[in-house]
Amino acid sequence: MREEDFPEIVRNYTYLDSACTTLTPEQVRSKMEEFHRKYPSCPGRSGHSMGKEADKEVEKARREVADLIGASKENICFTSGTTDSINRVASGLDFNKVVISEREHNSNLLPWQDYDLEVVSTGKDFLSELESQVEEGDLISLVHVSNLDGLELPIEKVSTIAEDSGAYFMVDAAQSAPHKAFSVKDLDPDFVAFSGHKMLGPPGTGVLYAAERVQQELDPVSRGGGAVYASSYESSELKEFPYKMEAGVPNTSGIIGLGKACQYLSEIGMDKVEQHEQKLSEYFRERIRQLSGFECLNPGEDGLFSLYSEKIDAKELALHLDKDDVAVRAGQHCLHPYFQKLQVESTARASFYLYNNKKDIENLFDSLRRISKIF
Amino acid sequence: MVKNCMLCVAYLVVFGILGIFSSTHRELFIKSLECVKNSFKRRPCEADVKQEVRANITHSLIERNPRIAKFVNQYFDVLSWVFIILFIASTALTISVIVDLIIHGSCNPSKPSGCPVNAHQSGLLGDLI
Repeated sequence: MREEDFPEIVRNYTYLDSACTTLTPEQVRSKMEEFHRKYPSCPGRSGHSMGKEADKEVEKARREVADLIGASKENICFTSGTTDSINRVASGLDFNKVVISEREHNSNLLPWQDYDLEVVSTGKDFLSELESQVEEGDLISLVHVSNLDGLELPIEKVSTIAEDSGAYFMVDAAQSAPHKAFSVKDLDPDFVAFSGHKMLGPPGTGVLYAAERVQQELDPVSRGGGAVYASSYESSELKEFPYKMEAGVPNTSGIIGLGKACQYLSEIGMDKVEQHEQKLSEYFRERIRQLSGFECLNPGEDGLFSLYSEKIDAKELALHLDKDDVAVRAGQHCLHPYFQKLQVESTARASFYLYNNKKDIENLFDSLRRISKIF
Repeated sequence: MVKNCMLCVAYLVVFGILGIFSSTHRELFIKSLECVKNSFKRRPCEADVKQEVRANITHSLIERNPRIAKFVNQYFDVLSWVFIILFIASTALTISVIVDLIIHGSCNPSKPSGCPVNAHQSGLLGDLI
């Protein structure tokens, strides 16, 4: 899908590591370059024409991001990534207790370790276990789609549980917002966190969505220029969300690039992106059934697949694949506690995006078949 | 862990010597060093040198001769130790020969006629001796 927009590397190399970071299309790169060439200045501060242009583009980017997830631009705070977004919530609000799932990425585990933390399993009793743990004033912070195997948690039902119990609810949408239609109108979470570099944007960009009802009570972690209306030597008058959260000159070109990436995805349509990945996943499943020697965690899910074998370590498998110009990521994917539970040392994860095609999957399986000759 | 550490120390020696001549081996030397340091701190190796060396060797053999690739993959530890011991032994022998050549002018001081390389005749060491 629209392969011509991506760097040549995508045509000469089988890039299957989009769950880690995606490639950026020409449109995003050009837009970022436009900032450096035409209006390289401070947004939101300088009254000159270049400053105004930069500010206009940043606010346009905020609108593009908001449109993609069905929010208003006043709900969108720019951060450096999902990790930063989650940490801002962890440091900016007080919760009685935090409830997470066993499948959380370290980014949604480590920030909560100073809290009273409950971990629920994602098995068949997930919802009832979660419901029994949550009370008013708690936070439920959950991954939407697992970065290990693509498992999707029923966050619509969790949202209802949070609402009924008076708990806050945060969604780690790092692996869902880039790959499927995601609307805060349907889910009604308090917070949503996701990264720009996993959705065709540049690294070092991310988003924290906050619903109106929690914006006032969320304290900014960092304070400084651009986040206040006025200050004295003793105190300051903070701006409203999101501007109170964005102290200092932002990553302007990155934000503009992220806005362009969201616009690019909106033009294609997230439904089409999802359908494309479903087709590729179906083909992957068809091929993995024909190959012996390799296992796949949760092969029923779409978009990303974690492979492992009793006969070869996943890291070594990834090294072999790399020699055939196939890029996958191997390791524990920042899910160390969950891997201890699984009793699997590590996996090699292949993940797809809109620029991948059937040929990429064929290349992967050709290489796997070759590698299996050494077993 | 101990077994891997031993192999890492051996790689450290081998790639330390080969790294003098080649940048590829220098990278492996640095990774071996990291691995040894991590083993002492009881941390896992970020880059497993053994895996990298094994993947390099076996992958290049897969197309040429899958059976040899399979054999190397299966007995990699044993083969590694054999080659490491041979490498260290031949390096030690070479150093001792060079030392004899410098000090005694012959690689076989007890029987100079049995040495094919004679420093005085070949002029290898010139005015050094």
